[in-house]
Amino acid sequence: MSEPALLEVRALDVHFPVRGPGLLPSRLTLRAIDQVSFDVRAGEVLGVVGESGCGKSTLSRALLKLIPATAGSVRLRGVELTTLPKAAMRPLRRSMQMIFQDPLASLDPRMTVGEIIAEPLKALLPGMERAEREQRVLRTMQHVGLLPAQINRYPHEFSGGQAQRIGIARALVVQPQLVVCDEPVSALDVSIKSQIINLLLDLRAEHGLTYIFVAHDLATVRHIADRVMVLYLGRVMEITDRDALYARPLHPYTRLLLSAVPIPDPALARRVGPTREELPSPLALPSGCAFRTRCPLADARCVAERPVLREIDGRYVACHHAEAAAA
Amino acid sequence: MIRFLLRRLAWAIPTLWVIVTLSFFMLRAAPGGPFTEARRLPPQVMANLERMYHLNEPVWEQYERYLGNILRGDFGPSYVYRSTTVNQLIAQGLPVDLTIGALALALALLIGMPLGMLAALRQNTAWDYVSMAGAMVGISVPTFVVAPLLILLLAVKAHWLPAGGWSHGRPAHLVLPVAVLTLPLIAYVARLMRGSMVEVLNSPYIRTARAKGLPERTVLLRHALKPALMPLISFLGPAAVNTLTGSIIVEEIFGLPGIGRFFVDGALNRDYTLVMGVTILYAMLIIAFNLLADVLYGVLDPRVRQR
Repeated sequence: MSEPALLEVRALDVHFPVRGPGLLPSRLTLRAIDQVSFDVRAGEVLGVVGESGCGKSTLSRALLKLIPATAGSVRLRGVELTTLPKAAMRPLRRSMQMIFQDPLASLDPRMTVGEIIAEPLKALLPGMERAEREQRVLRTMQHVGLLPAQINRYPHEFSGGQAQRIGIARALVVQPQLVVCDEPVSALDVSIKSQIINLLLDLRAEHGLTYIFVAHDLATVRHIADRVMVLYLGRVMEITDRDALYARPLHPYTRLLLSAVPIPDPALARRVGPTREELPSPLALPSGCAFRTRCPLADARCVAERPVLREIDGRYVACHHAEAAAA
Repeated sequence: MIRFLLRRLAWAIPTLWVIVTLSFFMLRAAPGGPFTEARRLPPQVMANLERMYHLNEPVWEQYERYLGNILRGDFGPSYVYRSTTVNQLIAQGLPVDLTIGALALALALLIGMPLGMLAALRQNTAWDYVSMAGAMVGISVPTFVVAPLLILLLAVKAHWLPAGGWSHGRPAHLVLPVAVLTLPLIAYVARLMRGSMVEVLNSPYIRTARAKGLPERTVLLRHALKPALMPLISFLGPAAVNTLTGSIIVEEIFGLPGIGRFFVDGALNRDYTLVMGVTILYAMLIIAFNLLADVLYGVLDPRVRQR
């Protein structure tokens, strides 16, 4: 890649210690994120998809150091974040903010909208004049489609979509470069969903934002992402440009996900991909390829050897059989 | 807020009336009376006593007379503590309980709240386990065990503190009763505080506060503390009244002239007016503190305020 990436993630691990069952529990390790590497270029939208429990939310929180990484590296504009002490991390939070999944629960019910949006400014730009801060809050509210008259309202007076606008304003008010959106529309009605996605796209165009956009379905990501990363059990299966991914998925898991996207036409025959088995426990991952227990292509090599993420036709895939799919 | 207060105060009047009426008739329905003693009084003396205290009138007239008296703030003469009025008894005893109770409450909050918060912040560490185990002991060991133990150690053996008595509230006489009252309270407050704090700290908006880039102190004091106080306030409403109106056990053990003993003595002696007096006082305090708790809810949570 010619220009340096805004965010570089290398071999990131996030493991959680878990107590096993029984009277004398053994210590187990839950590998929520396992050897994940990817880049985010300035100005792009990287979609992150995967089933529930694949580590999407863990990944987004680990990127912002809301939970500690076990190993690996996360670099923002070349600055290593994983080893940064809390106090040194705070100024960097101006550059990277997060939008959360449950819009209402993510807002302190005891604060007014104005206080919620102004608080990051007070914390991260303490030198800012009061009048300027108020101006900035009002301007940001306008950007996200909130009325100035709503500034003294409390979160519970808003609908889910409106609450998510507050959450977006709160994230954008410090003018970050990178915004991690952790399933920002999953809790919203379909009609509101597209409103919020369009708002995020507009804001990106206006402010030159970079998004990491997490979702559990490929349909939502298709509208917003430039590139898509597919996660399965905490591992990267495939990272590809959006159009290439939707036109010709290389990884069998991506194909499974695509076949699960509902087709809005009952006349079309629906071919749901092979789901041979339930999701394996993240406490005891299969040997070799994590997806092999559900994969129609799995063979002896997939059991023995873990596929690495490799480049095929300018795309990145972690599958031993990717060439066959590409051919 | 003003309208809310006025409405609640207006509601307090029928509530009190129901309490007064119920306890009045329940007392009369109980067998025996204030003058039925082991040594039977001559019938003439009995008749004179009953006439003097209007006990010979029909119950209905007695009830009317009593309601009129309490409306004027007169709880009547005590039947057992002769030539003393209930007002005098309460006026003498209540300050003792208020002093000890208020000190115990203040200490419980000052010590219990930080203890619980620290335990929540250091969840599942040695600090958490030790302080919560200590709190469990504080709750489980009854006052009548702790009090004699402390007297034995600090008064009888070490001679640091007086074993009992009031002495017009000299500080040295306050230490042991306050300590005995406050220990279980500290334990309750710490456990409640830990529980609610752990819950609040796991809530999404605390995560948001951290993601905003707020310093941890701001996250705790501005976002976490207020909601974590709610269960504590619910507990403190009635607990404060119980603490402030005295404990018969603490009063008996330390020989304190409080009103806690009137609740039991009065009932055993069928001292109608005294029982009524302390019951009404207790009811009024409960109503007042629950109202205070509701006001505090509103202060802490705008959603309550708007309702």
